[in-house]
Amino acid sequence: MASFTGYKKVIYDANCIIYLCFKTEEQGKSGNLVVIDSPPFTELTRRLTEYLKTYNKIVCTLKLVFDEIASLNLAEAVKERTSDQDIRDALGLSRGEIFPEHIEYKIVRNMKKKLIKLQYEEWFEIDPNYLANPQSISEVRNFFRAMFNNPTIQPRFKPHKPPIPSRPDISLILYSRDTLFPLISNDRHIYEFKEELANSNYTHKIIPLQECNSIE
Amino acid sequence: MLNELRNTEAKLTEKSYYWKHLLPGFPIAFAEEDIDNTGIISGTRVLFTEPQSTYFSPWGVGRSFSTEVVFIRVSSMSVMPSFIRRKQESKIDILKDKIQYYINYIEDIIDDMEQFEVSYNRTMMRGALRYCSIALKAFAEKKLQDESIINRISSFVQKSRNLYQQHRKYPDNPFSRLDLQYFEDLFESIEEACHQIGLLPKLENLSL
Repeated sequence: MASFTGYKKVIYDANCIIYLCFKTEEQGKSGNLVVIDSPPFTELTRRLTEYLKTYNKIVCTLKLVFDEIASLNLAEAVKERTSDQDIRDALGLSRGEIFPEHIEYKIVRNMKKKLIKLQYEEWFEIDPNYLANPQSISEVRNFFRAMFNNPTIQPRFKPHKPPIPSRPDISLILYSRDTLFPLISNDRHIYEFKEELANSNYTHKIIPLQECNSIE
Repeated sequence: MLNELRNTEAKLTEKSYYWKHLLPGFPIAFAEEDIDNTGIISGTRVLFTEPQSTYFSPWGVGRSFSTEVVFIRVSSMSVMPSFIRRKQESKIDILKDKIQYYINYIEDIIDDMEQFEVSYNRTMMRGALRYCSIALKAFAEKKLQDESIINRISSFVQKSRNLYQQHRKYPDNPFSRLDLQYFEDLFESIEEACHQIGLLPKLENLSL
């Protein structure tokens, strides 16, 4: 169960921000309307955000993270979701049929417009100035490297994914430490090691998005 | 020699003939003489100065595929009286050829850009080019008269190719980081124009 008592602001990671924009409808080949989102996270993030707004809390993130979502992550998320067989079946695409490039662009363009609009919402803030200390970034990288090289801990890492989080993700971890705001994350890379990161003073508090299903 | 070909034009006689291009901007090329005076020449050697061009003469339509010498098969001189009619028909054929050329060109660029990492820029460029390809096909089917949209699309396609080729020179600078607002604005103006002339709905109104 998540608690936000005492916090004025809450940090969202890249995934959570994408979920805020990641819902659109597309007409399938037989005229049916197919909802393209990322269940259950799209709905979970929407409910969490409404809760935070109700209690006048600000959702914040870093400019570094926001820019990377706009240029990279959003398109990757759409590509991934439109490759899922359930969506392709619902849209009437046969196996092996290429997802039309212009429809993919249409979806990404619509979602990017929602993303751009987000930055002008009064409950949403982008910190344009925060730059994580390079020494701290290096220490967090070493932390993850050490965890990965520990045979008893290695299974906790997501397979086929680089063990060291990206610079934007490390910056979010440290931002939580430097601001004392909790970081909401759906990135297993980040929340799997929330206890160890907090105990090592690399972060203040990390809350997995799934724990926001019930809030006290 | 190429400059001579560009700047001169042979008079139509029994012994000499010319290929006159109908696509603006393409230079004129020459054929060798009809040495046996029959007006029937097969395997005539013609030097073209532009690849992928269509050339018309009273005796037939020829295509070049390179700047090298190509062989063109021509028909009998007896079709001379229908020169003007064939000229008009050929203009439509040449436009169809041009449209097909750019449709094929677009496929190549879309394939080439697939090698870039998935990003907004990659998705935008490939999506915009695909829309242009659909617009070109729609134009060919509807047989519209106003070719200005074709010129706008072909200009966009050419710029996209230049973008890809220039970016290849600097592989360390990720495609995702380029500022391509110019291309997106250009595409949106094409999208608007297609919608205005009833050629194709805007992207947001297209479906699978």
